[in-house]
Amino acid sequence: MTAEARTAQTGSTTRSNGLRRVLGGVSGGVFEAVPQNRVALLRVVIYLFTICDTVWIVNDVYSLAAGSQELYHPMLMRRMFHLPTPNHTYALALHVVIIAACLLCASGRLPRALGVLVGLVAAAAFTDWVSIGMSYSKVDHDHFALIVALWVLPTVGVARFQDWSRSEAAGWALFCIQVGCVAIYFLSALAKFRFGGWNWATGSTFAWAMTRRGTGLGKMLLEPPWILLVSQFMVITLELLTPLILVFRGRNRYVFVVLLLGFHLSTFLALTIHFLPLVICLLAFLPLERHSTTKAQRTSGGRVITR
Amino acid sequence: MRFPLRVSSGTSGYTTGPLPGAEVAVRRLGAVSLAWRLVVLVIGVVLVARGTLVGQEGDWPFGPMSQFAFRTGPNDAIHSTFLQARNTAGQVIVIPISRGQVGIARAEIEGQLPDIVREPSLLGGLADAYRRLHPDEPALEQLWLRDRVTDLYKGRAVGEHVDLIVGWPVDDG
Repeated sequence: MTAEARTAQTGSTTRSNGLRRVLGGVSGGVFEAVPQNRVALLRVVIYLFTICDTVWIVNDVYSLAAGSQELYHPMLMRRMFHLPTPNHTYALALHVVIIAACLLCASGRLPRALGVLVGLVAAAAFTDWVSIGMSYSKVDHDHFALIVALWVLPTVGVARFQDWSRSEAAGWALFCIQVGCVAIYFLSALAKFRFGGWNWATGSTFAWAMTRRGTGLGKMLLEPPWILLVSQFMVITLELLTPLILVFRGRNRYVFVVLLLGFHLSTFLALTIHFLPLVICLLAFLPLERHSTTKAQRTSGGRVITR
Repeated sequence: MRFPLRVSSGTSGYTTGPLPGAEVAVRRLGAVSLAWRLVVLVIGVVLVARGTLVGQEGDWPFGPMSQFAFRTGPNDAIHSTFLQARNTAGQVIVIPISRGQVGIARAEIEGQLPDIVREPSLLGGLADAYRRLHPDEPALEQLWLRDRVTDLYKGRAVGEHVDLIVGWPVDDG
């Protein structure tokens, strides 16, 4: 038992002190107690994906660090924390730290205090890594939810695959990742109003994208033009509706996740834009532990009894 | 804590979760733990929302979510930069501008167009990168950076032409 995860109690705990009562109102959504093993599973996926990300997605850090530093326009964050102008040694050290820390965190074998420390190191190092990738030219926003995930996952503490107990700490971490996902979608819609204007959806931005980088399928969608026009309305509507997924439970929530996956699949097929770091974080909306049970039951032989 | 697996009932096969009737432990948070988490969440949401409403790209990771946020008008022209080159074998070929081909992405080249027009020798860097990335191909001896312009009318492509942006080492068009 730790100071944070106060006692294992059954659901109907009386909330004794005043602050708890005030916070009780929001705790339903923000601190919904979720099974610890859901976080245990998500953690493995997130940390292993983070390593893959440095190899296949934000994989230009070495070449950027080796190239001309005239193009280096450090993010505000890099200047605030006095992060150095990257060079090859720095990039290499960072990469080693990310891989080692992520492997340790993915193993889930670290004791609590050390786990928090290594988790925060992984989060800081990966944030540093991606911010280098964004400091030379084009800035992408597909990593926001993943970076949120790396910063909040260490706060859950020890979580085992077989641990069915529910915890509010796990619930908060998942909720933050979910908010990170929704922020990307919902704020993308607001950004379209800010930069493109209220009439963004009536323009030809998708035609611009398909003309420039469309696949065979993407180019087919150019004619007749109303196909992409309707797509623009659909996308901005979907983005504006995403906060609902935080409220939805059960089937509605899963249908929404499938819709979002369909959206990402179409942008991948039409434009080869995949947004994988965000797609991975959508797992935070799913009851991952159910799969693990079924699998556990299948492998546990006599454990399953059918009447 | 380890819980026994739930016993399946009925004909559907497997069910999930801990044993029915077994009490599932709920680990609650203390007041301080709840409070700091709530504060962190609120600060995070305010920062990321601020980024999109009034922030700049440099505010990353709390910058605006601005990918595809610009608007191309239905009667605008779509510009797309590409590279044409003559190699040492005398062939004139079109080379897509990508990291795999010339070591740099098209969007990055497009961001630097004013510099390249002022200093065409910067294109030499692309020829070098091409030679490094394609050691078995004939080297590039003349490059032309071109702009494919697609004219839209009511959202439909009605014409296309190619302009020369700059050539190197000979800027001949």
